[in-house]
Amino acid sequence: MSTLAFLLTEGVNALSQAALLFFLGVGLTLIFGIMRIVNFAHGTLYMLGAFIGYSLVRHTGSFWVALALAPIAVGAIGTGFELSILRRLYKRDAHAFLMVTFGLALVTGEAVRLIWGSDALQVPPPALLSGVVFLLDEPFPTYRLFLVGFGIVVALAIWQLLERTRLGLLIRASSQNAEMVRALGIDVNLVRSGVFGIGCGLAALGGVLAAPLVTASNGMAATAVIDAFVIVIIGGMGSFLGSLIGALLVAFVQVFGNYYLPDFALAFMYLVMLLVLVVRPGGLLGKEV
Amino acid sequence: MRETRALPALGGLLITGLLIVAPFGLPLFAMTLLTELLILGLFAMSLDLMVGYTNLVSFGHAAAYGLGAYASGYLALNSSMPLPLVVLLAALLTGLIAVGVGWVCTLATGVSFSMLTLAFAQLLYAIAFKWTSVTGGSDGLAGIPRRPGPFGITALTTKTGFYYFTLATLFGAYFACRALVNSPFGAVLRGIRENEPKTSVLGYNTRLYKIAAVAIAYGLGGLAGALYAPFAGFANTELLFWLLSGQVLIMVIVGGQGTLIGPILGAAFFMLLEHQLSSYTEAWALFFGLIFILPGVVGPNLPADFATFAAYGDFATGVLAMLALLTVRVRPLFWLFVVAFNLVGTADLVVDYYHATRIGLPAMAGELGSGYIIPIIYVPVLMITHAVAFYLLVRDRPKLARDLAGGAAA
Repeated sequence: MSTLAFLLTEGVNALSQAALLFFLGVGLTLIFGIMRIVNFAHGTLYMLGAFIGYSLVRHTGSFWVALALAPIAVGAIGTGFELSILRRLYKRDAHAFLMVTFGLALVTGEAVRLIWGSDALQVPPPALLSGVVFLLDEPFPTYRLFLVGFGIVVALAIWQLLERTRLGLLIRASSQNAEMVRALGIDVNLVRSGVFGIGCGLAALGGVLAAPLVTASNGMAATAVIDAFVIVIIGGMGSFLGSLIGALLVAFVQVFGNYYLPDFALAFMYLVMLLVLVVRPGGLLGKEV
Repeated sequence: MRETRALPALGGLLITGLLIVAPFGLPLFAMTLLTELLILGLFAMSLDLMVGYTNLVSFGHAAAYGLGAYASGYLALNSSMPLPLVVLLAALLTGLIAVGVGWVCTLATGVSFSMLTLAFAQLLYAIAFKWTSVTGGSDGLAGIPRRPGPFGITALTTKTGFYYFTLATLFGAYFACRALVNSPFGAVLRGIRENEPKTSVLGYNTRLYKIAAVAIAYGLGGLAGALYAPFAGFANTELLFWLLSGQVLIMVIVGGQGTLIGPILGAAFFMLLEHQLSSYTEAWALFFGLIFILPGVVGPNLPADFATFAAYGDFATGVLAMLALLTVRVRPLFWLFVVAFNLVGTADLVVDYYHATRIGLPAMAGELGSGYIIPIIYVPVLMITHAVAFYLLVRDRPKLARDLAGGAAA
């Protein structure tokens, strides 16, 4: 394999990884930006997305149906949770959120285990994407290439949503000054429920898309939530662009680190996070909080 | 005033006495559980110095526990030092490393501080995973011995001996912490908690104080970890994982931050609950999680056995009340449920009060905080409504009997 071909395939590989991490991170950062809460349950919602996706694929036979419905289902669960419980906590300190989302993580994780069992479940990629394509004469899984494209589309869509739509305006305004938005006659609580649902839905989207690569398993939540934290911390909490940069950085460190320095790849990721925080305590694009 | 002071002191003495005589009455597995509980209590208490007294919310306190555990495991495996020396050295080492950790982490404040502590803990986790020659990698260190001594004394290496060693360490640490937080040093820490800029303007180098607080808290957390390794006989990467950091933070919050004793109770609550639930049901984590969602909504943090019983009683009462409302149109069923609801509700309240008095809940009024309004106002009001309901039921008896008879006939 030529060096160029190697760099290309590994680079695209890292991009596909970055797409998955981005779905995970952007949801967390949106939630943090507007609600100032650290959602411990983010990883379990990602896992829930993968398992719901598995069931949908089994019953409908179509990966695309799963891709469309699983995030909506998890988003609805998230919204329901916000409406029923989180909403009562805004006047309390951050500790209450910590406990409650920790509880949600445990409950969801256990519910997943009860419903789907403890075995890792295979989710086949759609037939259309199960082959390989050739990049500079090297075979490369089509599915990963699809992830890169899909990641770009979703990133652009979220960006446009935040910049161009009224909802995006409300989200940005509420994250800057919720009191003022409320004073202008907007129901900030409704915005919050919506954003929490969207954030959870995005995590589930990542889960469904990750399932064909890594199988749906009970263990995926713990690694996912810490990856999401790392991305959001590096990028800056509440920053959309930051989560994109964070996801790219973490993905490249993971993929190339695993190749060149397999023993230090994991440590290297946290070292990058530490360095970023020491230089810019609020993350690359975040305000100091 | 005197009574409110005397009651906790009396309760403390009682618990101390019970802990001292525990090995004579408890079976072996319970002793193991109790020893682990004391170790976790020490761990949670150490975090309280940061969270409760200095407002430094650490998301990475597992770093201290894991460091202490690995250090004591490594020393015990690779030297012939006696147990107390191993534990002491491991704790000191953790505290020393924490000076560096504290120096870096206190560059930031607020959420960023929490994230930096998390970053450090995860970095250590990653190192422990890969530095196989020292840490044993993913297998961890196994077969960690409890070496006798000093002077060949073997008393500490038995299960009971180790329990007393742990108990003494916890007590020593508790009184040291209490002295610390009541000292001028502790006053500065509380000043930082309440208003850091103001404390800084008063002429205190708050950063140095914060670094010292981090170092002491990590040192004590390391002490707990250093006890855990020879207790369990192993040290693995789980002890450095962020999940443990989250758990210990919740122990502190559940028990009541800024009280020292609260986090120890929080650890006990957490551990016993996990243990009890896992012995009842396979799906214990489900209920475990629900229990953390509920207090977040309800408020007060109650002792385990009281809260569980009260919860079941309240739950049954609630279900009966709902059934009564649902069957409002089916008269016989409705009256039946109303009677049952009132009976169960009253019994629930009476038994709860009995329980509360028995376990000395009044002594923990401080723990309940503003939630104290529930037992002193809300519950009596409920009691009165139950009484009124009974009165109405009894007064209406002919009608009730008629309805019940009518229901049976139909």
